Amino acid sequence: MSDTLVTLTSQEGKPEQVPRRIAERSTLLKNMLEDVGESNQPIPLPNVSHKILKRVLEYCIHHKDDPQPPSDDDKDSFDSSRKRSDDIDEWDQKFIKGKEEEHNEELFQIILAANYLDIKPLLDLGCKTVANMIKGKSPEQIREMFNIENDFTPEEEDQIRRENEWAADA
Amino acid sequence: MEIEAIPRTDLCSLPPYHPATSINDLPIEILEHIFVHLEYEDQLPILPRTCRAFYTASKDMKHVTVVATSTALRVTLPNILSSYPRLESLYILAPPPTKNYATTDNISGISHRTHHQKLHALARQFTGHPNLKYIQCASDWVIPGALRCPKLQTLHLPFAQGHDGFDDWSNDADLDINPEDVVHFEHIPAEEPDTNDSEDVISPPPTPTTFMPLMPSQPFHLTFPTQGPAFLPFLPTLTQDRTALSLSRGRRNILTLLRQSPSLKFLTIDDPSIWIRPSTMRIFPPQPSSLTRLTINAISQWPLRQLLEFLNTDAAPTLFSNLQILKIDLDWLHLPPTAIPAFAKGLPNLQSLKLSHAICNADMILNVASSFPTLKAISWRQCDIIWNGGSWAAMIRYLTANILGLEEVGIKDCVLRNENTASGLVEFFEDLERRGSFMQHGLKKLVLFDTNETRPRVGDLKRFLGWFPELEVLRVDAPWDCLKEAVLREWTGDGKGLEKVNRLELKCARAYSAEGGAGGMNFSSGRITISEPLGKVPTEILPTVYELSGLRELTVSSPAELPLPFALTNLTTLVINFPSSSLPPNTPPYDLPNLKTLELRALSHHAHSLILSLLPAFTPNAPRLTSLHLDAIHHTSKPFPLHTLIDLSRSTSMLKHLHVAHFTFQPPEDHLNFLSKAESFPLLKTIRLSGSQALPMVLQCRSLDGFIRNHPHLKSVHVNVSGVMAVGREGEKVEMGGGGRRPSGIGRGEVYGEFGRRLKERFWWVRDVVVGGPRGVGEVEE
Repeated sequence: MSDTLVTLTSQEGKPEQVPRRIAERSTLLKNMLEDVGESNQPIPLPNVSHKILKRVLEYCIHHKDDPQPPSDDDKDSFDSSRKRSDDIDEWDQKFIKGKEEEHNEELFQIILAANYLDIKPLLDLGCKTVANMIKGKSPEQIREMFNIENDFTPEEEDQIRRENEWAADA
Repeated sequence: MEIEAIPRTDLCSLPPYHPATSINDLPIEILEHIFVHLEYEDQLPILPRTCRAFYTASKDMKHVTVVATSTALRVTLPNILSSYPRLESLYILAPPPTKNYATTDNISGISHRTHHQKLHALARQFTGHPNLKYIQCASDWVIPGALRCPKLQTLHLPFAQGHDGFDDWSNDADLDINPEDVVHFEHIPAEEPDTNDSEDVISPPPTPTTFMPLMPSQPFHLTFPTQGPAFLPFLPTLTQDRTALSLSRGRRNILTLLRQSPSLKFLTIDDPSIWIRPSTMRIFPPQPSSLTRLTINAISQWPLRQLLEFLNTDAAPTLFSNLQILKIDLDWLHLPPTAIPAFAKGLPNLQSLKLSHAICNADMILNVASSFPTLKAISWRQCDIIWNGGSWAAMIRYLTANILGLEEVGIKDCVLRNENTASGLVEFFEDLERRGSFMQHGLKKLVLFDTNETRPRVGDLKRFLGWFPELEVLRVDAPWDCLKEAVLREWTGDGKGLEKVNRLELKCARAYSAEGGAGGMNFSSGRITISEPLGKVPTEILPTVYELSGLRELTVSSPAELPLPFALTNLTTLVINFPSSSLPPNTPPYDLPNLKTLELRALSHHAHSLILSLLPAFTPNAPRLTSLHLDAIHHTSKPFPLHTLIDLSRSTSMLKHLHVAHFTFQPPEDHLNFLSKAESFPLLKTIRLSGSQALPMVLQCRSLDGFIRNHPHLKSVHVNVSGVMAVGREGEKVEMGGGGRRPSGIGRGEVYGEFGRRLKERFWWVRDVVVGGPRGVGEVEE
């Protein structure tokens, strides 16, 4: 059954056929396929563009033999609570880097797609990558890097500074 | 003033399609998920100050580590935690006891005493949190607050010094705390508190506590009636003037913790105490707790006795109905003969039992085999084990013959002792032999480290592979000779016996000797011996190269000769410890297409040349190598040739972690110039050049700049230098540290520390830069 093909339709309406085993890396699709049973109906993914869908599938194909991540209930919370961002696999690093010129934009779209499709390892990969970009930078540097507008009023900035004074050298 | 938060969105109800082009297009939930991967120092105060979306997301952080610095104490823990309303895991750590140049926390000259006291003071401020699931803190003072966390699942209470005489902490000027900032607790005694121990007196049931978020200035009321120590975790104590009441520190009473916090799933506790009061047990029988794993470290005699007594009561199976893993460190106590039956009775669903530092009596193995028919894993670490059945192999055979579902057996650094008492084991093994071949068993992991004469022999290895065809991990204190071609063929059956083994470690440093002994087992003396190492060593050596295709990790110690007689194509980790001879110069390099980690350690004054002779065999054809650890364990440092460094860089361009110990890089200019090139190890993340004077030159102030600047992935730089050169007032070069001149008032070690700190300031993206001096002066620790 795992060798049957599943058709996924991207936001633009373009179909993409993948083996069911690959599609089931996504918990959303896995649950959906289990509920629907055997069906040839294409599965619409209105929140994922075709380009990003192909990137996500590339990730799923590479990680097709990985063990499924344990659910939060099964995890030893000793380990799961220690979130680290410096343990990214080599292939993953290259994958998430993508093309330099559209790195950020694509990265955020992959994160959104991973979240929507419920592919936890890919979501973690994306989030770790962004966390690594933020690490060690000042608010001004973060704003510059991600092109974020400072939307606080001066009064609000003052208040936030006061709120977090304790953390300044803690 | 209220700062307007960004509304939370539900991804499922997003408008049709909204491509994210900026980080601000991500929903708040995902921003939170990103921030969770950041450590506390990267979270606050930076994130909330960036933009409104970041502010909202940082309010929802679920993980935080709070270091007990003076600032944190002044602000108080409740204030800090009020910034994290959805917090799920909390680490409360003591500040570093010595000045740490690698961090921005400059607590200069902090004393050891103050270091612990600060931790206790911060833990004492903890008043609970409505959403916390995980707490780690070494101070007992955290317990009262932890018991006020209704969702707590994991509590980790390692041991901390400094509880004694701590009560006057608030008078300690070093702590720099304003007493007014500290939470005050007010005790309202329950109606007619019952302290009578009499069984006839029925005490009122304890009033359940409900969580009340506390502001530092608000007192709260404890409404626990006095029920005796098992049920009253923190008796309020009167101070001398009786005008104020303060909360005493919590007790490490396992039963109290489980009773008061039924949601707890994982408990790690050092130096616990256990009280049982039969009178109150009858009145308040324990309810099932959620605890699945209990780790007890350094238990003393009395709590151990109490624990065993409790496990023998009818209440224990109910309380521990969910417990699957018990790890217990007995701190060299005798494990009483009643212990294993008590574990079996009181812990009905135990799957894994791990004992360490225990002295185990002769009945222990028999009791384990008969009491735990469904056990999956058992291990002993640094235990004295009395076993009258002969060798370790016989013991493992006995256990697996009786516990059919056993998957893991671990025996690490234990001492095997025999007492010549009749045990009935002879008959057991004779019966096994009569039944013909031993029934094969599904054991998957076997660890057997023993450095004594009772260490496993080659014959034992052969038996293990025969008995346990599903074995995946085999780590034994067997000699390197087991991998010699003829020997390997014998015990692995031409390599077939290792087909399913993916991790093999042979740890023994002694050479194999083909000592005699009849094959098979000898029962004639009344004792079972499986001492025959191999039988007759085949004399005919076939030039076979075995394909051990399943092997992923290989660790060998003290190999007398190389190369290895089998292909290593699938290896991902190779560790060679203490080789006794170097490789011939023209040895063809191994094909290691999948190798990611290589560790080479050598001893003696030949250590450096041994390592340098092995490198050309293992690195040229290892394109995926990411981690290389070279350690020449000797008090002198010898040069690491530049051409070796260049070759290494060419062949292992994917290298991320380079650790080289006890080599010197000279001439320093050439080495640094090479390392500073962007194409030299372009992906490097960690570099450790340790040992005496790894970089023996006197560094110019900016000597390391080029190296760090051209390696954008660098996260950690630890180097030892012999001295630091600075430019003096008149332009002359002044040597600092290493016995040279230094500004008055600065210790020698501080010169290097300061140099590292300045580098860290300049290259803020590198997480730690540590510079040590020559041996004994701020040396970089391994």
